[in-house]
This record gives sequence, structure tokens and C-alpha cells, in this order.
Amino acid sequence: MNGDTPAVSAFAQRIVIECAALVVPYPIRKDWLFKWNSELWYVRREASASKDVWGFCLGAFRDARWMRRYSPKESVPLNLDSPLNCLMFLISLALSSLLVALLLPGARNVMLLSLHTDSSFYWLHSWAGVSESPPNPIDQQIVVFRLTFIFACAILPAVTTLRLGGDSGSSSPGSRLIRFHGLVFFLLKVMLISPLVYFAALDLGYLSAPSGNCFIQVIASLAGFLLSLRWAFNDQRRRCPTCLYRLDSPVRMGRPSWILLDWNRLEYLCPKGHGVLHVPAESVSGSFGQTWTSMDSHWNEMLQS
Amino acid sequence: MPEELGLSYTIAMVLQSISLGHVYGYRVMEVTGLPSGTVYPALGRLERDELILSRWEKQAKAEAAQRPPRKYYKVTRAGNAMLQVARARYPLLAKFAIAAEKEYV
Repeated sequence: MNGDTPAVSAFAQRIVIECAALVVPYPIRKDWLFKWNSELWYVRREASASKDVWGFCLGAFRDARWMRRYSPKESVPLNLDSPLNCLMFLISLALSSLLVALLLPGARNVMLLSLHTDSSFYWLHSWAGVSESPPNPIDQQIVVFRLTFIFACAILPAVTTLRLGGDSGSSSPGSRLIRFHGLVFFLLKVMLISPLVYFAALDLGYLSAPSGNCFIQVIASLAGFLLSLRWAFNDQRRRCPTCLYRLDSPVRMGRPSWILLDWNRLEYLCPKGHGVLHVPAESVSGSFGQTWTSMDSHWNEMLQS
Repeated sequence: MPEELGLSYTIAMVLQSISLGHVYGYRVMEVTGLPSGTVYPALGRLERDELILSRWEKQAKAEAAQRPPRKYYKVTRAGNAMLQVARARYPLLAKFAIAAEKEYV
């Protein structure tokens, strides 16, 4: 029996198991801890020597490691379905790239220098066109960054269609407001993309060389803008114009060999039941192709149930 | 077949001890003489492979006895089948079973 174990020892043993629990994946940690604390109670009562109890407690680390290694992986999907999640994701990416820039001495000095020369957020001013001529080389860098954005915009039509949504067959009274919401969401995405690309390019430039590599910054910002703007357009086109949630449940309709006799397209459904997006399998020149069909409230209720 | 499933002698011993009625972790440790760092991962693995099932003792029953509830294990049908194969593969398991029964049953 080990009933006379001091309270301090009991507390320390609990702490050891609590420490081991940190290794266990979070979703099963509570159950695991409950099991080990329960077993510890019995071990403390029945073990003949204190070292047996300590041996038992130390075994918790091995079990915790096993749990970490073999428990089913919790898939954490990158859920960008809701517009809020999408914007939060972009904000977190922008903040992460800013954080990396602050950790890099060269990039940090550039930003601090721009603060000291009263040119902080020059890149924001430069968007609005209210800034005066660049006061220092750092601002020249920002001007280059703006030029890469313009250049990316110029070559963007070569990589994607500059349409934001499907043509709707019917016009509802609130369609203008809906389009406005969609436009605001799109502009917010673009506004968040610009600091993200700026800081990411800065990071890459100063990661490749301590004093900064201008060439890499230019290439990185150009590629970053091109890819992120392409993503912004594609993402917008795959969203419901009403609720701005990403469309899902793609269904292929028709057969490619019957293209002249039957439909051959993909249909996406709004998760909230606002409508269906029809995307033709083959694009016809001069036509945008994809069309949006709104569904009435009966469909909405049915899908939500 | 135990080797195909990676059922080592140690894990077969844990499975055997549960089938003999030593149905919670600390008792399995005592019977097998294995440390907790071996027994509990083995139990987790057997449960993952659906060779054993676990259930928690009812809270009310444990509270009435003024002790925490225990987690009990039970060998499944697949576990029993696997144990038969393991016994054929590891003849020492039978000796272990006799020794364990003499000591605890």
C-alpha cells in the first residue's frame, strides 16, 4: 500500500501526467487525462513502492507519444467557404508576412526607416495617388511595387477572364444591391492582397540576401500579384452572388460526345439554396458562358432542411 | 497472421491477459509485468485494431464506492480469433496464461 505518499509527491505525479497530456492531440486529451488520472488513483492505492508510482507516471509519456503518432489525424480543412473566413484568412496571411518582415533585420530596417522619414504607409498613399514624389529610396521601392501591380493587371486578361459572376437570366429588385455586395467583397480581397504581396515580396528579397535583392522582390511581387488576382477573380466567380458563400456540389450534366444535341456543363449549387451556376464544359469565343439561375425561397427552405 | 498485423508477443500477451479477465490497465500491468509505457500503448493499439473494446464504468457506481471510474476492456470476436492464431504462433502464451490464472484466479 502506498497510502502515506506525501501530498507533494501526489501533486508532482499529477503534474507529470499533465505534462505528458500536452503531447496528446487536443481532441482526445481530456479523455486521455481522465483515464490516466483514474488509473493513477488506483496505482497510488495499490502500488507497493513509491518508485512504482513514479514509473507508472513516466510511462504516460510513452503512451502520449503513441497517441500523438497513431491517433486519427484531425483534418483541419481550410474553410474559405464563407466570405468572412476568406477575408480573415487573407488578413492572417498579410499579418504573417508582416511578422516575417519584422523578424528579418534588413526588412525591419527598411520599414523603420520609412517610419522615421514620415513615409510610413506610403504604399497606401500611392494607391490613392495623393503622395508626393518619393522622398527616399524606400519609397522608390514602393513605386516599383505599384508598377508591378499595374503590369500584373495589364497581363491578367491573358491568364483569366475579367468577369466576376455568371449572367443572370432574370433580374430581381435587389440585384443591384447584391452586385454591390459582391463588388465590395472583391475589392476587399484585392485590398488585402496588396499588403500581403508587398510584405511577402519583401520577405523573399531579404531572405535571399541580407541587404535585399531588388530583382527577386520585383519578380516575386509580379508573380504574387498575377497569381493572387487570378485567384481573386476565379474565387469570385465560384461564389453565390447573394450570400457570397462558395458554391459546392458540382454535378456534370450531359455528355461531351453529344455537345450538339444536349447540354454538356458543370452545375454548382449554392449551399444556402440561392441558386445554381451553370458552367459550360467548352467555352465559346465571344461568350462568357457561365450563367446563374436564382432559385426561389421554396428551394432555400428545402436545401436548409 | 499476428505478424501480418504486427501483433508482437508483448501485445499478444496483453490481449491474452484481457481475455483471462484482467480487464483494466493496471491489472494487465501487474499480470504481465510490463511497464505502463508498454501496456497502455498496447491497449490503445488493440482498441484501434478493434481487437478489444473499452467502456467506462458507470459514474454513479464509482461514486458510491468513493473512487474514480475505471476503464474496462473486453476482447472482441476478432480479438479472440486473433488470439487463437497468436497462441499457435507463440506457444509461450499458453504457459503465461496458466501462470496468470494460478496467480490471480
